[in-house]
Amino acid sequence: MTSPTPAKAQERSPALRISDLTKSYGDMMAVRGVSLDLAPGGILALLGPSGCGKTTILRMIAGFAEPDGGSIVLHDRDITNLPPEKRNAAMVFQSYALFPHMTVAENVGYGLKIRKMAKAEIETRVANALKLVRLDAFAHRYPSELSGGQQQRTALARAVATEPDLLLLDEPFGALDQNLREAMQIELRKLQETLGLATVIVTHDQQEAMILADRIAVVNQGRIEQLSPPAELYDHPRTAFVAEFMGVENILDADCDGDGVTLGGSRLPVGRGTPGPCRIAVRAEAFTFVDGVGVPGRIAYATNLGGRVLYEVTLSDGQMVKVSEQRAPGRATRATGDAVTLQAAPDSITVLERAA
Amino acid sequence: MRQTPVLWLIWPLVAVMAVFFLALLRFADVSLLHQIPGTAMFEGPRHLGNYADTFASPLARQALLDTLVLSLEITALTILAGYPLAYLMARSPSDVLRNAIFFTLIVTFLSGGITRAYAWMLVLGTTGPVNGLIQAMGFERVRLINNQFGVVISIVHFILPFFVLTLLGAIKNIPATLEEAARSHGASRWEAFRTVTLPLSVPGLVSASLLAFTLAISSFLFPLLLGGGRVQMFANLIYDRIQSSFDMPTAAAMAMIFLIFALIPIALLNLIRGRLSRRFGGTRR
Repeated sequence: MTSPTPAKAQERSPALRISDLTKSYGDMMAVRGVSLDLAPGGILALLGPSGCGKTTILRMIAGFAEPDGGSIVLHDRDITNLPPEKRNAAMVFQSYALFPHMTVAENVGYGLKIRKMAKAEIETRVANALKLVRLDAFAHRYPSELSGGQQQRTALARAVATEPDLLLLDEPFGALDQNLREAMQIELRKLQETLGLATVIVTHDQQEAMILADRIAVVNQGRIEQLSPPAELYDHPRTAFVAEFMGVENILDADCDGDGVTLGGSRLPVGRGTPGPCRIAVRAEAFTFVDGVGVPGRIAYATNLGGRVLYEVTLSDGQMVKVSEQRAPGRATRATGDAVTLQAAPDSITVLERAA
Repeated sequence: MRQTPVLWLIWPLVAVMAVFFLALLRFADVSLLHQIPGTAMFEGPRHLGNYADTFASPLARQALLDTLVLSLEITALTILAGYPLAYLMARSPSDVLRNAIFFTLIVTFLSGGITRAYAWMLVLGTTGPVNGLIQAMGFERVRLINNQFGVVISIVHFILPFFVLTLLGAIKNIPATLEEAARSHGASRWEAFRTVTLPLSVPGLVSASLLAFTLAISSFLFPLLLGGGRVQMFANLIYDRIQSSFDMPTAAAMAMIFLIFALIPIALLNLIRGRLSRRFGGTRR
């Protein structure tokens, strides 16, 4: 598959365009001016801690919450004030919300029956949707007779059977155990690619967002802090919040001077950042122990993680740095109190934006 | 070892239940005796004459039939009035509305039967506000009490809190996300209710209706006070039998017959409920 040329990509209007969406509950501003675009066939993850407003954004897209301001446009159709049933955006709920009094087949055919489709047509579509999620053998079971993963797949089949313009997923894997969750995530990604469905997924799990999404919006206190492809978000978080949320171990105070960063009295070569005090984000595995020039420190604690050793290193200015080193056979673990010198590749050091 | 105290604790309950059951058995026993004429006493030998007499009496047969039909009507009206109230209480986003309904029902619940019966007399009487309104609109006054209408409306009012509060729990137990799921898959508010919430509430609806029917069929006070002697429900007939002729054995026989007839619809509804809970039984919600 060839990727579309930039000019062509610009021609295609986004599947979903959200502009300046706001919502408050009483005095609490749940969502404050959120704007984003979703390309046709793309998956966008709304990632953030609980209470950050990500679910409220999803519920506004679905039509279950009324925005105070802003607009939601789905395929050039303004759906901001439409009732949920007129939006053609199918939602998969965290609890799956399967209808307990209907069989799997009846659940999956629900949206088609509501649309008064012919019986034969419903049967064909239900059979196809069930085949897609490998539940053909379970068509006549009731939801209570299914495992968690099967319930999840039923909910997914029910959502895609209506061929919606937009698929909405609210923490869809929250109730599954770890192994099943990973299997289901990959399965969902494949399904989504096969059907080319524009999808918005809400999650608090950064790994899940990384696996599923082609773009991730990190939401904090009702605002989008960063909207980037997963790799960029992982490598170059823009704010301390995003860095912490993406699991960056070291967020350190340093001094920027335009073409370098001074950390613990020693300079590291980084070509970014406006001069002045700044904060930098560096992953534990990005630091290496070197013999030459670098940031001096002392080992404060060592934890053997099996394949790696995690060191806590105290710098001369008192800051604590986490350093993860591959454990090589024959090499002794560094001892507490050892003097070490740290170095990191310029690429792996991210100068964070100053807090707004 | 750990079961011992639990088993022991059940005996006081069994004793209390036994007292009530023995009272019923004594009543059944009395129904087989016959009155010593001119007294309130009764004597043997035991026979089924009182039952045969009751079945032979057109008055008793008519009252039994009327009571069953009227109770079913009252139950139906209670469902019509009570379901929307229970649904609103379970689902309305407005605290004010939910609390208003709850408060009204609880006040109804707590005010005694006599109070309410006389309140209805005032409200529905020929000089009451309802008739005032009817007259103001240019119609003739209507008789709203001392007939079936007054009895039915007062009994529905009496039963409504029991019905609504029973059904409320059942509707609340149906996750609201099910309706949201229905709507996000294309169902309107009404379709979501009709295809999801309504069928899922049927077991609770049957329980609540069972309670309503039981309360309706055992009505005594409201027919007495608001029926004007024209509405003879079976409990009133039994009461009259004791009051007018002190004929306890015949009254007891009538009560036993009434009990059996009252149990038939209850057993039927229970059977339906049993089937439904088997259908919905395994659900994890």
